[in-house]
Amino acid sequence: MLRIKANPEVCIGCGLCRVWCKVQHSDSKNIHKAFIAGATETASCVELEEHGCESFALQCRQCDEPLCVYGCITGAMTKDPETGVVTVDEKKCVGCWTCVLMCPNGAVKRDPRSGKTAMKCDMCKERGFPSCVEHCPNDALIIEEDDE
Amino acid sequence: MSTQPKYDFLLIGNSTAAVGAVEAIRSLDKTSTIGIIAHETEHTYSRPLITYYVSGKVTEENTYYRPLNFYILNNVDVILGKQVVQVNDRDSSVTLDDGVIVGYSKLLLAAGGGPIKPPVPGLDRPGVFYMNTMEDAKRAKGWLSHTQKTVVIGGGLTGLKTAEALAYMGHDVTVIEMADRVLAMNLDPTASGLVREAMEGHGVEILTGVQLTGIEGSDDSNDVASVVLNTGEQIACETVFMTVGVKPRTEIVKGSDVKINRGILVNRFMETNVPGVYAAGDIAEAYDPLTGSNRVLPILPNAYIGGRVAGLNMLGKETTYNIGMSVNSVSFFGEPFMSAGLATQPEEEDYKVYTSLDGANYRRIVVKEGKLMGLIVTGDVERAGLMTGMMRAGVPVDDMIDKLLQGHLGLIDMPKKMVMDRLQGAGRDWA
Repeated sequence: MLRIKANPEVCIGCGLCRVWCKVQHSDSKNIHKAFIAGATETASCVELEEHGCESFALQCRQCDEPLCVYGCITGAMTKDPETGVVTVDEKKCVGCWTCVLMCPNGAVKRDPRSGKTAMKCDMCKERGFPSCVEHCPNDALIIEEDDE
Repeated sequence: MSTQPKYDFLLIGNSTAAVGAVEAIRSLDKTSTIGIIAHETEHTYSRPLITYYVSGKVTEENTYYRPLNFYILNNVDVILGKQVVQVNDRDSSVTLDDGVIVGYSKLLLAAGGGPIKPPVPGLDRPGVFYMNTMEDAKRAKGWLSHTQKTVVIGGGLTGLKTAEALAYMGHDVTVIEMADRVLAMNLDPTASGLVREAMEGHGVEILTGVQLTGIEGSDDSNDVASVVLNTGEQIACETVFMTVGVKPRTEIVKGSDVKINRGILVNRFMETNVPGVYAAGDIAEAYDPLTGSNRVLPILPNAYIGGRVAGLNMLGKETTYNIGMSVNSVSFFGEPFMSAGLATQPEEEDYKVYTSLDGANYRRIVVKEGKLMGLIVTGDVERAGLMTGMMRAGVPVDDMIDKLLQGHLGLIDMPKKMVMDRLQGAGRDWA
């Protein structure tokens, strides 16, 4: 399965990963329209973590042992056995936030737009390739095939 | 005797732990035979969602814990609506209430817990309900359509979620809690007070430090008319929910060699003292890495993880159950409340307690010998999972207390090796 990996050695903390994640999660999916005043609120699934000169981007790791899936009380959080991608079904999620409490990386969040369902990196399923990886100027985010 | 069916893996129970076991087994093995026997008649559903079903916030279809084709996809035989009356561990079989005997190579006891029924008069009156099964919820839903005033006995998670559902439906609700605060098992007085505020703000009345002594009818009807408390106070109502807790359904192993304490005792592989017989979920008394001892911890994440570990071990893939600590996350009227580990542990010799309070944002951190042992987080709960991750992995926290209290915590604050494992690894080892 494909997995995003981060390399703090070459991350410069530019935050483009967050910008492009927000574009992908906007209504327009257009970088100009997504950020103009009055645009529907959008949100990033990527955290940019910085400490001194060290930095890295962190999104869901699509864990082999996904504690968010194991803890999900409704069955809304599932891991695709083929692609390995963990996704949340907003129609089934009731916002108990057990996934937020279970994720050891703090990579599942409350969707700031609705406040009612969980939100996490879905590897840009609709788009086909993770936008954060594609737009990282330094290869600090890469995508790799992970074997079992 | 007719030829009895026999399964490689026989699972008693049709809920979270059994699903965890099925998914674990089928992730590695497609050909073994799996049978499920459950006393409930429904397709596997999410037990915590039954109060949502009662209020109408979630449809019955959306209470299903797995899709309707779950058993077919996983090639599982399912026998629903049958009680196991005897575990014949010496013959590797179980006897059902209709006399049918089903054999197994490996057995998982995952029959869950049943509601505690305190010894008070009047529990059999029409209008008294439990909130343990979908059947309970369906019965109550019908009754509630023509009533207005409800008393909920027990201010634990189930009781408060029941009260929340009733308030959403426009009912008048009073919660009766014996302890001095609601959610006393999960939250300290400050966080419990915030829950109480949230509930009262939506019209739920809460009485603490009082006990139910009886449920009474009226002169002309056997139906519930009031509850009586130990203070002598009488509260008129048409409906009573008994939600004072659950106890493991250990009666299913009566007469067998399977050892029980409060629940069915299991080792670190979720196996009982009888080889080949496993237990998981609310029925089990399993290892808690924070207390270092076995305890009954009836929470959904542990039921799944315990069932999964049992399933892997039943299949012969040795796996340790090592992350079964307490984790509770719940929202009341949209306000989030989380607790984990030894959340209510008071400050004493080995335990240090740190708190911060800012409006609805409260944090309580319990530290022992430099390690995080318990937490309560309300309000701003973003990235709270980093802390349960630290508890599982035993990350030293002495120089991080301020960050933990303020919520300014990142993966970047973790030990270097852990950061790289998380950024580049496969997400497998959490303990």
